[in-house]
Amino acid sequence: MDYTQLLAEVQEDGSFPGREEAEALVVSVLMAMAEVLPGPQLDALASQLPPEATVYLRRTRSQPDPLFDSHLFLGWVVSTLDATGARDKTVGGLDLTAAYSGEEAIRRMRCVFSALKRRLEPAQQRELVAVLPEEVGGWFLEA
Amino acid sequence: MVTRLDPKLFDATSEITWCAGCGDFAILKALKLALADLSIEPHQALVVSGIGCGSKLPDYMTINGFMTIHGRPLPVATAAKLANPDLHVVVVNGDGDSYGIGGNHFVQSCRRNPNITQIVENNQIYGLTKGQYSPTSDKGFVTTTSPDGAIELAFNPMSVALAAGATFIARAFAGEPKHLAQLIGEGIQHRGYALIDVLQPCVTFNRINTYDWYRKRIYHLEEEAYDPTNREAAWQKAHEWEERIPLGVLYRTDELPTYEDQVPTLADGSPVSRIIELSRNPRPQQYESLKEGFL
Repeated sequence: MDYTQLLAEVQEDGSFPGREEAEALVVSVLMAMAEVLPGPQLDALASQLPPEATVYLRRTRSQPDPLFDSHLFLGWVVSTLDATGARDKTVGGLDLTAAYSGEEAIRRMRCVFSALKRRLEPAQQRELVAVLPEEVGGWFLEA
Repeated sequence: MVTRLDPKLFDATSEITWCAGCGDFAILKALKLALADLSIEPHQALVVSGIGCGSKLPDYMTINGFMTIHGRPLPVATAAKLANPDLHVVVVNGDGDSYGIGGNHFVQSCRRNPNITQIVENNQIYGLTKGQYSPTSDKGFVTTTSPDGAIELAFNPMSVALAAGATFIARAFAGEPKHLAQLIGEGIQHRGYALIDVLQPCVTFNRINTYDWYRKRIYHLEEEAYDPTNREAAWQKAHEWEERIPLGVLYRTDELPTYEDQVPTLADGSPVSRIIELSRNPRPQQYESLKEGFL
């Protein structure tokens, strides 16, 4: 399994028009996981991924923040979405479609989780879910 | 020994309307935790906000709350503290509300030193009004109101607070809520005005200063041999941006009196307590005396 194949799976699963969009998503999810996973689970995940993907699993802090939750996890992913739409004629800004960005981010996140699950043994998946924020763990299981 | 409260004590039933992934969620969580850790109960604290996405925060907590008009939470908070010095008063507002519309109040609060804590949700953009550049937007930042890039230099709250005489100046990152909660706790415990500038990604309208952008730049002063009582060192740290951004307490001094310490009429006790006492035991001449104390 190489990096190109990982991106191709995510692109197909999410029906993304371009490889760049799939890659931005994969990178954001991996970086969010690096924020929240303890060392052993991070290493276990990295061992199953191509080297181009593992660079995004490097954590800068020695320990994950215990208060890091699903909202913060989503934040890393939502930043990659186009959450603004057409011109707003009332206040001169952009129409806010951010109300749906959470649902879209979760849908996209599941595409990455699905690709990751194909590379992890069931026991590794269970260990991962146990240390993810509760809601994120649920999305992982549903993927 | 302080008995830690359950942060859920501060939970509210209001529907939160922030965008998914907004850094404000972490600020809300950290504030609840800091208050609970300090064993401050909801009735013992007041959260004052202005106008903006982040200023909706008091509605999302079970606590005394006051949403003021745009840019005015600091004078309202100062007044509340003067009326009831026993109250823990926390201001929560955005960078536009604090450093733009309320800029003068920010400077005056720094030099006045009221015993209040201000948490600024600094996302470098006006989010509620859909993405106009704000006082802290970097030069060249492209938005609907700066299509060719912001012309002005960004407002530097750290250096302005230091120059204006603030006695506690800290910076946190919404992506690290535990560290943020710790700094909020230190700010609340500080006797005097405490500024906690929180770098808080706006995931919808600011696609430059993202979680990833900050993660690559932030570092912790606590992990270096840094003395936050050294004013000259703080001045240098206050100007670090772009390449490296320091988090933690940049500056603090505990040697200056608070504004309330210097208001003579407060020496006779909390005005709120005195009014309650007078309402139980009316003595008109003492009402007049209390009023005259503030004239």
